Amino acid sequence: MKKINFDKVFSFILVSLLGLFILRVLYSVAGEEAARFTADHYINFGVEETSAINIVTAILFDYRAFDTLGEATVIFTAASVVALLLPRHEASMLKTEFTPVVQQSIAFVLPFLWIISIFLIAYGHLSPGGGFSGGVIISAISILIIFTYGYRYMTRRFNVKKLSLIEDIGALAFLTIGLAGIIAGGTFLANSQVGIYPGTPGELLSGGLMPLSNFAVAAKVGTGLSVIFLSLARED
Amino acid sequence: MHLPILLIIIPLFTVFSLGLFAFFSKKYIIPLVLTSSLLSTVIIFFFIFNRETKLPFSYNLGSWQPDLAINIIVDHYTLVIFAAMGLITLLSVIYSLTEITRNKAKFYLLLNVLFVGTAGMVMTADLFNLYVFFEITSISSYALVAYNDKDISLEAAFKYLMLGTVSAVFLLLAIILTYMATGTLNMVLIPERLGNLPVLTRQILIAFYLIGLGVKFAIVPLHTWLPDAYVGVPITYNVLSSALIIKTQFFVLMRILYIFFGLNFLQNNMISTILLVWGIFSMLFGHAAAFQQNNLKRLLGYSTIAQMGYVIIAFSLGTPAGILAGSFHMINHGIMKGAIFFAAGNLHKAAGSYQLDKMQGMADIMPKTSLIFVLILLSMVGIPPLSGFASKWLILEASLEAGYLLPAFMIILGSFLSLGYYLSIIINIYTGEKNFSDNLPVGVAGLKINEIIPAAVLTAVCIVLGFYPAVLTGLIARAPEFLLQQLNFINIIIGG
Amino acid sequence: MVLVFPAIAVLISMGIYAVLTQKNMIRIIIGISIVESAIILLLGAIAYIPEGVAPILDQPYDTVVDPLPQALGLTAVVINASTTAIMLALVIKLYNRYQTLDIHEIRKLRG
Repeated sequence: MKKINFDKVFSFILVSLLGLFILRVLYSVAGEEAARFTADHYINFGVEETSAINIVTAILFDYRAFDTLGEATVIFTAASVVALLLPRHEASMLKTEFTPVVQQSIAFVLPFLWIISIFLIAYGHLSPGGGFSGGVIISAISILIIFTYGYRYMTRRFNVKKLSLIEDIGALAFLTIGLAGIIAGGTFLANSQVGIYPGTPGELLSGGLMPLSNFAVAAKVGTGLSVIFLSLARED
Repeated sequence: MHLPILLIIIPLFTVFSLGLFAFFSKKYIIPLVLTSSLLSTVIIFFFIFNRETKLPFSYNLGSWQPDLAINIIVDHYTLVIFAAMGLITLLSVIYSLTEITRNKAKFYLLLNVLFVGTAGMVMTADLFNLYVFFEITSISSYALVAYNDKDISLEAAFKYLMLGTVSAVFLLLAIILTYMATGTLNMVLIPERLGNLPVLTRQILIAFYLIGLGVKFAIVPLHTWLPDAYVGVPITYNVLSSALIIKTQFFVLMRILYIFFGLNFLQNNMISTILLVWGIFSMLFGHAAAFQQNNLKRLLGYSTIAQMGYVIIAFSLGTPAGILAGSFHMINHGIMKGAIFFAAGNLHKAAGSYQLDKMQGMADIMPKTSLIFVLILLSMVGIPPLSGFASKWLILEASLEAGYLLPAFMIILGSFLSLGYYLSIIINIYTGEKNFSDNLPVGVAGLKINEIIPAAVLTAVCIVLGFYPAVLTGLIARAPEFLLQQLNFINIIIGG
Repeated sequence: MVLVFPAIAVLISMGIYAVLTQKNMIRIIIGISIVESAIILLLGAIAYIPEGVAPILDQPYDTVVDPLPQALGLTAVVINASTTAIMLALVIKLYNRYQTLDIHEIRKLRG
């Protein structure tokens, strides 16, 4: 008993010291006036430079598109790793098929979920949303199907292999969109600065290559998260 | 010229197409992987051989103006990692051709993601981009540790994952705090804005960066994942981890410490001294722990911890000679550890186990591999005219020149300690009763060509560097300039 | 903005305390998750300016909140989710091998 108590007391002291240091630093760096430097540029010049109204999407797919590429790689790697670690014979989830009432209601709702996700993706640069939110809803659709109709129903149509293929295509599409920036004379992932059809802000077809990138990222995120859930929830 | 970004695009393209190839035609996987690895090595050597005309090189992604965009910078300090990366990645891919037997596509996918991550980490000039590539490297590392599917691999992977994720959180916290203080994420704009902060705040920031990156280069006491993680992994990952990943994390930490905070701040506020003492402690701990190991891979893991202690000491001296010596040792140790792990993998084929008491008397069965093994061990102790002597001599010289006598004494002490356990391995291999199983492929004839080449090539490089260390010091000669003077780095992007 | 900071410090401390002292692997993962959520909370907190509108600039505005931490937060959420997925996959595999979720038991069983 004594040994356990000492461990916990020591950890508690360490952790409170850490909390105090974090608090000290947070209060010390907060509220600097000069800290609005890049934010001011994004807000003042964002719309006219990228012709996207949603500044967060403009940052994600134009100013800092390289981070989005890295993040897409992280999801891709995680999906591959989970599919590698949990192959078919490591079963983990019990059967959860629901009654026909639930199945019919979900069957009614699913097309609307598709419309919502495609709306979020297509209007990503005009209203809150973007490729990531749309992709997450697509993966929620697949999880919903697994819960209401059963695992076997889902894998007869879309198993891990097919979803990984779609994920690959989405990722390659994003990479090719980045290369289009090089072909147009700029650097990798160049979008509005090389003049790829900016359009007028507020139209659906504006923002250069942003709608295409949104779709590529949504395909990848949606299928990636579905692969992760499918692998974690296999049953015999 | 788009060459630096090709170092990231080519492995990324390989990663994404491997899934397609595994689905459609399996027999194009190996040519694809070899081609992409060869292309990356060619690009790296192009930068190394054209270093006077093409460097420093900056490339801004998205064609934005330089202080707004995410920049990629290749300067002479980056060459330190390029020198290790060019040779060792190609050789490890060659070695892995026969070592990996199941799930080949997934293994090469993870390997290429690892290449993308390390290339991105050393070249980026943007803080959050650094975090993203740090996580890319980490996730592929965790997966490679768990690759062999053995009990010890899984447990080691979980522990590594726990420690690594907590450290990533600290790194992200440090990055957010830096953004709060300066308002920008661009590495060249941050140094002048950080100068206005109070001293204690900057010290706590340094502590968070150190914890965040320190777990990954195995500074003691954050090293506990390393010995377990080294036991159950394929040799390819052993080589890449000790030669490339650990060095990259330390490389990035030094870039952050010297460029963001500056040499004066580090020396006036005892940070240099703390790092120096920590390096000495890490080195002595590594040597002491390596003594007690019975498993060859764990012993080499603790030896890596000790050698990183030498590098930490060299870099925290703060003089150009110190940084040059530290960089030389980073590359050199990578080459030596790579050679040892490749040779150990070959010995394992005849002995069947990595336990030292099962590898007795190996020299009768595999004389040439044992010779390579012994040569590299002698080099790691620091016996002339091998390359380990050159790097230890450079560190000693730098330490004495900077006026630090105690570290120099500790380095000599450490070398004697390492002589103890390396010598016992050598004696073990050449004498002793053979008690390994007899029905395993024996002799060099039992090894395939792609298993002999990496160890032989790295040993040859080691011997050449021992006689002509100027080959390597000439390559990295201008690296300290871009680390010690902040303006050299800052002026790559802004200013004339 | 400054009222959130004690909450963030407490959350980070609690999460790391859980990682250091808990033996059940699922609780360790929950602890890591708490710490990551605290960081995302910090990202949300620093973006806020009082009386600022969301960064969707189709109507006239006075002040806009900072859009950059929001983009960083999105990336951080995705990376955290991926890491948690890998951790959970490893826990499932370890449970299948050792039939226990106690990390000290696993260390002892391995020998």
